[in-house]
Amino acid sequence: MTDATLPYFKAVWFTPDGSGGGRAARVTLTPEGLSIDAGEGYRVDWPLRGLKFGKAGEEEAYLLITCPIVPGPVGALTLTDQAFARILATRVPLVDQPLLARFAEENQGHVRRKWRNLFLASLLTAAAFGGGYWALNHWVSDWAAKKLPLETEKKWGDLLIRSQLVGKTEITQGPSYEAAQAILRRLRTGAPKDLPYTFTLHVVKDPMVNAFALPGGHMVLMTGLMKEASSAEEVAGVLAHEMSHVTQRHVVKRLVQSLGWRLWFSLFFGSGDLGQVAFGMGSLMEISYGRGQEEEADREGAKVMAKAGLPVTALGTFFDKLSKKDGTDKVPAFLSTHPASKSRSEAMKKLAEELKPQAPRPLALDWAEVKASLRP
Amino acid sequence: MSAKFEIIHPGDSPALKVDLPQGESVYAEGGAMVSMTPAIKVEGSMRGGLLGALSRKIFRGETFFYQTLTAASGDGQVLLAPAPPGEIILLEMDGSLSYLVQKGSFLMASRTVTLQSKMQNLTKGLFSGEGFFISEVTGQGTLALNSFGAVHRVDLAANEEYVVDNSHLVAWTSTTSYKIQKSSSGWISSLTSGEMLVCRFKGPGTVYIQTRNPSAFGGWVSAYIPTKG
Repeated sequence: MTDATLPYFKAVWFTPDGSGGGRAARVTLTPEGLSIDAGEGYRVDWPLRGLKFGKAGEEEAYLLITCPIVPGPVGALTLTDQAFARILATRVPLVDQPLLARFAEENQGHVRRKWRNLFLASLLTAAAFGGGYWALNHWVSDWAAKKLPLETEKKWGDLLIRSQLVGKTEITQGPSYEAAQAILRRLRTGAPKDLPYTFTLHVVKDPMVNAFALPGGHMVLMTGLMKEASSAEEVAGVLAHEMSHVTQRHVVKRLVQSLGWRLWFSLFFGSGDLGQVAFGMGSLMEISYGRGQEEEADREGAKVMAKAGLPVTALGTFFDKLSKKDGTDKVPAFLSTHPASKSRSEAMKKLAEELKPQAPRPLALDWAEVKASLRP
Repeated sequence: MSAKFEIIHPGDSPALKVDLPQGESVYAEGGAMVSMTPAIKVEGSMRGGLLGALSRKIFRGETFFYQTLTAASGDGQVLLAPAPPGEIILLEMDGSLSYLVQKGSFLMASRTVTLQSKMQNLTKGLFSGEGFFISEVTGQGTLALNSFGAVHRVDLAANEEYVVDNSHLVAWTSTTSYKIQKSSSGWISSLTSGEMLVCRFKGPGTVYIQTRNPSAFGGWVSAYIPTKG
């Protein structure tokens, strides 16, 4: 007898021979037993004392109930509801109670396993994501930088320099331009002979104390930096450092990392918008080098300086001066902040001792005059 | 008005005709669209993001992208067909039963039907012929599956058992369980019978079987491909 006021549990009903497959059913727990509404006008009541229990389905996730004492062919019910199993356990004969209680518990185990699997899946996802990022930073960028043809790198550089100079005034003549080119000429004499790069130095009218390198050998020197430097050698120190970022292919590695990171991120989260990734190329200015790369650029830059007959410590001096003036938290991008200022300056002094440069040949430039030409 | 589904040209080269009222959509295996009225908009989507798509592609051998077919600018009609020759079946899901579907058998589902990867245990992954990952389909709506060859439906009563050769499975209800076993009692006779390993199902529930085995067919065809030299 079905009591409409009693709560029902969702179940699947199977006919005695299984024909037609399972179909949705409602089971109500009545004082006498189970009242089953199997749909299509079929209703049946099973007394508590006649119920027989088993398990069914993948991972035994279903409670299987039949009632063999009912005359004629008997169907079967499957349920997954733990609450149903717990209530039923309080009513059925002692022998079946542990089975039902265990089902409720195990089913809770299924839920626990589900959460555990979800947790593991999240962990794996995070690991895959982090692993991908790590691989990008370590292997992929190195590999790509090695594989990237120089011609392509130069093309990227040509493309990027144009975007970097938009809206800026490039100085192409006068004392500051001449001085900058003279510094570059001297630095070229210190660079390895077989270097595949021909550096191009762009002097840009900008009060920012900054200089940066682009792939392929374009370098940008801002007039703000020239005004801040006490000597042409200090500017040479900065440029030697930037040149080394190019020769050591840091620029292209960072670019690959930046692009790859965006690509990886967008792929991972299902919005592989390549347009946005390409847009990332424009944000090259945001790229900062790693600690190792900065140290390498310092070291290689120092070698270039020494070989070109310029004072190795000039970059350190300039860096110290800027740090004192602005505080280390406001160090320009070309110096980056990774190696601590003091240790860096000291490292450069050590380098100067190691390299044992010949007596420097100062640049034949009247730096005061160069600076004067930059005044508005 | 809701979507209408009809299997046309029944036999070994059927297609599924889907009539969609405006605004309704279904999703289908990538590349399943055969033809459609202009009101239908087709979009590729990676359901479940990259991870979901990857697991589908790598583990279940399905396509990376699903296609979502939406009746965008009015009522529309679309014809869908699977890659292999074989039957298409429609399953109406009322939410009470969920299905486990072997890789490559999914053709189309209503938006309200959910497909997710389910990992099988080691034995089943290695020997069932269905791989480690199968699809678990839950929810309410219409599900269209395709087979290699014809589909044979077997309804099992509670505790009734039935044996199916591996690689002949299409789908089965989650109330059914199966285990892998040798086809005969001894390994030698299992081997010589040409069946080796089989899946032993236990009811209650329904098992859908395909009458042809894709890998056996591949082996049969390869014997007729002339080799060079």
